Amino acid sequence: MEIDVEQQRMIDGARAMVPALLARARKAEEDRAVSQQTVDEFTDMGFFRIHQPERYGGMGWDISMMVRLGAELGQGCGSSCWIFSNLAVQNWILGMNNPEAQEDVWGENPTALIASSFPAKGGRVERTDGGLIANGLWSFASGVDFSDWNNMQVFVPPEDGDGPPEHRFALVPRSDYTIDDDWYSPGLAGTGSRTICLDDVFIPHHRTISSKKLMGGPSPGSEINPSALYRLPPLTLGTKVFAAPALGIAKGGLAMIEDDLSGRNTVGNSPMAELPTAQVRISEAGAEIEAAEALLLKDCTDAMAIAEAGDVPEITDRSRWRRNNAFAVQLCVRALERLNPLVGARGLTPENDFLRMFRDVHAASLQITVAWDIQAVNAGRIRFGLPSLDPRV
Amino acid sequence: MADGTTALADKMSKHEELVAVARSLTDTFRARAAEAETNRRLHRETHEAMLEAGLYRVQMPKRYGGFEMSHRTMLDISIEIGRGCGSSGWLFSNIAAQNGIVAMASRQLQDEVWAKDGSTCTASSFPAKGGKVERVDGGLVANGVWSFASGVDWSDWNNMQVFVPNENGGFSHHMALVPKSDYRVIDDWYSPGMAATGSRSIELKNVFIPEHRLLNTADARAGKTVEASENFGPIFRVPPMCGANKIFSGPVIGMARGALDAIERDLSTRNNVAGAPMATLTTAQMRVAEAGALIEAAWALMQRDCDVALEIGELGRLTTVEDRAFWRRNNAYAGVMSVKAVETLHPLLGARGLTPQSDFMRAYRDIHAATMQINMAWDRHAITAAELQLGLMPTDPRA
Repeated sequence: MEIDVEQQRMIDGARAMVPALLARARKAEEDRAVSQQTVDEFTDMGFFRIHQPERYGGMGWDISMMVRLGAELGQGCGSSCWIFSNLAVQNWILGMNNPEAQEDVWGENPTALIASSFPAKGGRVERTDGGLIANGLWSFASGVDFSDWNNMQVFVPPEDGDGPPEHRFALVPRSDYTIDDDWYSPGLAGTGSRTICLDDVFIPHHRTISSKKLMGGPSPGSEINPSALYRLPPLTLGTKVFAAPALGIAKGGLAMIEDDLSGRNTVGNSPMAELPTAQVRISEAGAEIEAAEALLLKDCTDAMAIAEAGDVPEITDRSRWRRNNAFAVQLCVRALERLNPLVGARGLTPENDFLRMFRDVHAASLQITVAWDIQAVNAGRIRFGLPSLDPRV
Repeated sequence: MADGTTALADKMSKHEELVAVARSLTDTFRARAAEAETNRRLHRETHEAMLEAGLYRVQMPKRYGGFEMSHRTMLDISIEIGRGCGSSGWLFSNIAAQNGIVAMASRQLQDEVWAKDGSTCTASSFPAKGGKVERVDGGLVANGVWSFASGVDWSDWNNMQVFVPNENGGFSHHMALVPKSDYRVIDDWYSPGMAATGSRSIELKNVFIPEHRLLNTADARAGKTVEASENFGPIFRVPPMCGANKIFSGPVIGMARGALDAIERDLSTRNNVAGAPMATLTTAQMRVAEAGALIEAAWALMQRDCDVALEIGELGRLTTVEDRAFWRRNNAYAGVMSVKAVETLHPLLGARGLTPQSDFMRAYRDIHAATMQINMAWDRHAITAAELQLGLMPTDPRA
């Protein structure tokens, strides 16, 4: 993907923010929330609007920009980066949603922010006239503190009571839920990915969309947003929303170790940088991270080429993109695992930036759509012509 | 697309055309691979198919009928061919890359090689068994044995790596081109992997090599060879032995893909002892997925470095020692990932796959041999890149 002048300016802007994000990262972790200042700066930079349709004032840029910006921001603060990518991706997904839903969210406030959630603690929906009724808890709402809406993943019971539920996204405004402050994660703590609680909330039909309509190819929203971007599958290609921060975090971790080694001597008073074992760790981690980045960007190029040609990605493409996103995260985790022994016991402090990145990248790798075991098995099954184990692939 | 092939924009349709031609040859080359291995040389038809399809011309100057394409085209072709037969992929890229290097030498040399016949091929060699050169008036005199001459069976010229003694007791690294009348081929290639490359040695006795047939690699790195070569295209500004190391990683990625193909074909039709389809075994699915992801990541990394190299060539700036060291590191790492992929798949073969004809086992042998090429040696290139990354002086003189 060619980068244009405006995109390059934004990437440079993200890079310039890294030292400030790094300086705030420890506090964000302790607060279990990124600061309003950080979110305001991201808003001013236009980060959240990179994938928003142009008709609502967004840039409508392709998904490689999420990777490129994530690769920068994550070097400063993994949690801030995660908030960026998770809120930005929702503006892409809404661009594929029903035009009425787009108007509900952006009609009066084109800079509205949307968080997302999953019913891990047992939120349920039922069918009712004209829509759904939602009750219970939806979790992992990264960015909920700053958002005007929430795009919940819901499993709608089949109409006749038989067969598997249908997976949908369902949009609810901030007034429809309360927030339960239950995010005490040892990694990515600053994301404040809290749970939302809904009590008999009616969700009109036009604010819900079946994930089957988001598998690539024409979407309800692509009628009004003609760019190829809105004919790509967010639940597979788009899991870069989780891989991009992992990439940034791994790059940051490597930079920390390099800086540290360059000025440090061993017990025997020889420069650490001259130890071949340290050199090989640095090189292998660097190559793993660059391979992860190249893989993430390659899939963006492939996907855009399919969409621009008016083609629809096949299930083998979609499962492979998921697999590759998960593998890129694995490469990032392995890179930081490889570097960890170079920290030394003197690095074992709560403030240590590398170790926060180590915690953060491990937490990121637990997000189910980039969880290697699950995505590897599913991609392997699909390669052999067996049915997908995940209805969202 | 389902196999990970990268789509390209319309402007690169020549690229797509050449890659499609390469892909159309893969099955035929695979069918010949076992016999070629036994013969320790490719079939003449294999070489001629690549020659006639124009594949060797990817990096050749347009003046002689070449295409001046990016390293990426060479990479993608070698992956397609290497997928069918690793040795064929290796010969393709080794011969194709020599055309790119000859293009960096003097115009006079280029005319000698190509003026009469643009399909003339050049092999290459390294003095691993102790070939030596001395300086004489107007050039060098070469004596001894130069080895690993992949493509020597099909080539009219050989591009030898030579270490020219300096006045201060050191050496400077050059490429030296000799016509085939200058050397004798020694049939000493009995390698357990990539046997069909026929990478034999050549022997030279008191051969005079005139100055215009030499290419000083330090000059090439410094951009000093462009004027004399009269080739101003961007790919000729990317020095040999860094960007062009894809000539080794490309076939290696192809071998890994070929190994994955073989396992997928086999598992799709095979049941385990209990009668359950092998394809339903979670452990098999994991291995296939991990191998696939490793291969695709290696490929993506190489494509990206090719694109970066082309960009640098187009800008007309010189490569830095960091550019070169990280390309070399990544290149070797693509080999590490590809070998890991094949190792990951290996247990799926089962004892019944232990036959001389097994496509998987040939790819396995080939990839382990290919990664011994010094430009693919991870231990070495990891160190050089890290030295630069940590602000030390590189210890490798060719960095």
